[in-house]
Amino acid sequence: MSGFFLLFISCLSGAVQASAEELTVDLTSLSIEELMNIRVVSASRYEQPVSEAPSSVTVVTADEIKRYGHRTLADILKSIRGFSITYDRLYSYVEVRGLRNIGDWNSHILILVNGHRTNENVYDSSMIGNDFLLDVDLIDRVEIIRGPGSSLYGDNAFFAVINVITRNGRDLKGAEIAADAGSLNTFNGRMSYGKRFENGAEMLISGSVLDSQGNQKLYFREFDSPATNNGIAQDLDNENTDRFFSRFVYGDFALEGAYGGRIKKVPTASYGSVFNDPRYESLDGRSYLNLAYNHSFEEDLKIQSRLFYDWYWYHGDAPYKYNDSDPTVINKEIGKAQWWGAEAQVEKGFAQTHRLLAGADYQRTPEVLLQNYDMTPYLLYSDITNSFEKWAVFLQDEFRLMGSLLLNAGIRYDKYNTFGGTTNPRVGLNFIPREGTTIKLLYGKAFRAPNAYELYYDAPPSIPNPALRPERIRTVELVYEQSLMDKYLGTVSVFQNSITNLINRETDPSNDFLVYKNIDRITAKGIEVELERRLKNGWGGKFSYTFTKTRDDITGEDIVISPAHMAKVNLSFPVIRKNVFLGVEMQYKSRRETLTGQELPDYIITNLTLFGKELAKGIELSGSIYNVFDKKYSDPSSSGHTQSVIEQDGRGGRVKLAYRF
Amino acid sequence: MHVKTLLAEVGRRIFFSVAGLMVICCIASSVAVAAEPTENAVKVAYLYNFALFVDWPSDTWTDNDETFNVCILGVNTFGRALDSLRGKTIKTREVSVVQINTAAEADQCQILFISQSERQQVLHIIEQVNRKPSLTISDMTNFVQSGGMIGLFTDEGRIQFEINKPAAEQAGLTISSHVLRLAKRRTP
Repeated sequence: MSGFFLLFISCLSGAVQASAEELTVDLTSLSIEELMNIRVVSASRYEQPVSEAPSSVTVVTADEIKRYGHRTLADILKSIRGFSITYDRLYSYVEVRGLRNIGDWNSHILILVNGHRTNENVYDSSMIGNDFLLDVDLIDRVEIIRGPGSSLYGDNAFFAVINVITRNGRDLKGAEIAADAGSLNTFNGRMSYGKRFENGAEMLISGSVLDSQGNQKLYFREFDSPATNNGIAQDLDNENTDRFFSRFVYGDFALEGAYGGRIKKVPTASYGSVFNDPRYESLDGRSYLNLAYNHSFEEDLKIQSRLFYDWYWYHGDAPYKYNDSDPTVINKEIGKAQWWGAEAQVEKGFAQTHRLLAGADYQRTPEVLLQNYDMTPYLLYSDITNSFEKWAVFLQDEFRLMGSLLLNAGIRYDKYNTFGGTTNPRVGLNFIPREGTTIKLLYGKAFRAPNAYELYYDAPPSIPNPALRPERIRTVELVYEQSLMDKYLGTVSVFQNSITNLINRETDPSNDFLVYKNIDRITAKGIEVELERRLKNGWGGKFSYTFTKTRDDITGEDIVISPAHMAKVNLSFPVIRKNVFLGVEMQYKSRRETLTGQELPDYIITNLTLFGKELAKGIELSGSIYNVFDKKYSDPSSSGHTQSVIEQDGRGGRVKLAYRF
Repeated sequence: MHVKTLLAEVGRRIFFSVAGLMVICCIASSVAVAAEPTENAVKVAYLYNFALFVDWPSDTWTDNDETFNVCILGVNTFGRALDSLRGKTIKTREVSVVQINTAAEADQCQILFISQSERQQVLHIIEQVNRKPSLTISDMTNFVQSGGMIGLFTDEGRIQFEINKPAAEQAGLTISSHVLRLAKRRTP
């Protein structure tokens, strides 16, 4: 903690110094290699300085991921201001600025890998745990763009857009092997090879395997009776993941192929299934091929286009006992889709005053399969196939009104074969009164289209509702950013998000059927502050605090499923010479309530990582302790659970070795 | 009070005092003038770094007091970023930043940065300076194809460079193999 205070004191003294003498950024002390790695621009569908992006943006680099020992995208997002992650021992869920819908699978954020959508076309889910199709070691940086992004990206860009950018062949320059071993018998291995050839072509191929035994015993109070093993789920926390990623770049073309498959045992006996049955498991598979073509012409004209083919498949084996005297039957749930699409956009700058972006997206899903049946005796409950088609056009103009005033206005029209059309605008006014200070006034609308599962799922007791309308969100945000001595960045943000038409499952009291309906309206408002010190001279860190007030607009009552107060600290500094770093991470969440009104106390989680860079030629070694103080805490469960809370892991650790040659 | 609750309380207080400090810090910092690591700052740093890895012919300077001249030809878009070169020395000579408007003034330029504003005349400019010991650098497209020596370009948000080695050799300049190795080929 004292280290953190030092950071602030040095910041304060820095502020005084800075006002005494005028400062400009001097990067001449950096080497050419370092200069080549500085990111000057970021965010949006084209590249621009963060201060000019019409959103509140955070960028996380590969270096930070290593320094804090982050194992998954979920770990990375836990350290991001305004983001909160919960886990129900099957999937991890994202809450953004006090908003999350219990009962969906991260369909309110859009996750892109090198610009390609990873949300799938059955349940709309975006996966952030070990089920994410990319090994975190392959990440070059993650751009987190808050607020509604539908004016550019369409569906799912509701709370935020997360663009994951991978490393390229040139970043590897040879082979890399990484292996780690962690608590709960978790082992992970990766082999990668990357190269940049004489003719400029680049290749990267990588494969990873993860095997985790998980908790041998998990106790759930709700099942504490002799008939259900006294509430203990034995050996039901296993997780296995296989991942493969490849990327080839030649000239203006980039071809990318990715595959991720994960099998996870389900210890929670969800959806009224039999408790402590080792056959309950879920498989998520996700794969895509993406061909991108980008070309820059003279006269500030650029085209970007892509063609992609995607796969997703889900298999769930759930044990059921329909009557106490019957034997247990395995009920199989299958959700499967393949889809393809094309996207193209043209960007043109006009005499430093206008930057125009126009584009079109098309996507077709020839078949979504939703199937549910008992295996023996075989009994089919649901076997539905549907096809989907959508297209969109969008336009954005960045207008430099004066040197210090930038207006960014965009609009996108999406047309679906299911519900029809939707138009989503966004306007951002960036005022830069002097270098280093930015004030952003942002307004935008976004939507989320009802997905195949919500529209058509038809296994009892669920019934379909093809009349579902898209969910809507309206956001107003005021952001103040102040950079200081090119190392510090202070951000203050005030925001309000209003959601209408939110889709949730409801039980029809007349017949007990479950059906998805556009029922809820929610408003969340709040304030967020952050101070970041960029990594420089080997050390850096950030502190953030988020306050949100979330209200159910129908009942007028506050919702505290997400914490009202969140605070986060990340600090990394060298401890031995200039290549061994200590990364300290602390995350605070205030009290929460479950769906049933049960109170969950506030807590702080502390993680420590010791990371050694180039210990010997090509060798990196890190050791992490997660939840150092072994804090016992629980997350509210999602829908479909008998448990209202799910207890989380206590203290754990990991040792990781990477070798480059 | 229970020890754990006490710890939570202490933790909370620490968090909120840090939050308070941070707000103060932000207010204090807003008084100061500061800057992002902008594209311009990176480009200027490149100019400086290239100079460290290029050898000029021994007869480039006649007098020990002569400065190392970094010239900007055309519209100067660097603004204050050039200030970081002030007071620096290159090859034991003091750096002088010179704004010029025609290629004819480029005689004494060890580094000649050609602004994008000169895109239409670039072939003509190169023709005029190509046998003089001036390291020509630009961020315009197709600069090295037009006979320029070092072209800066943006690739995935990072500023990279390509090198036209024969052009430098023709002018009597030697670019260190370290820099040559790091050069990228710009994708057409």
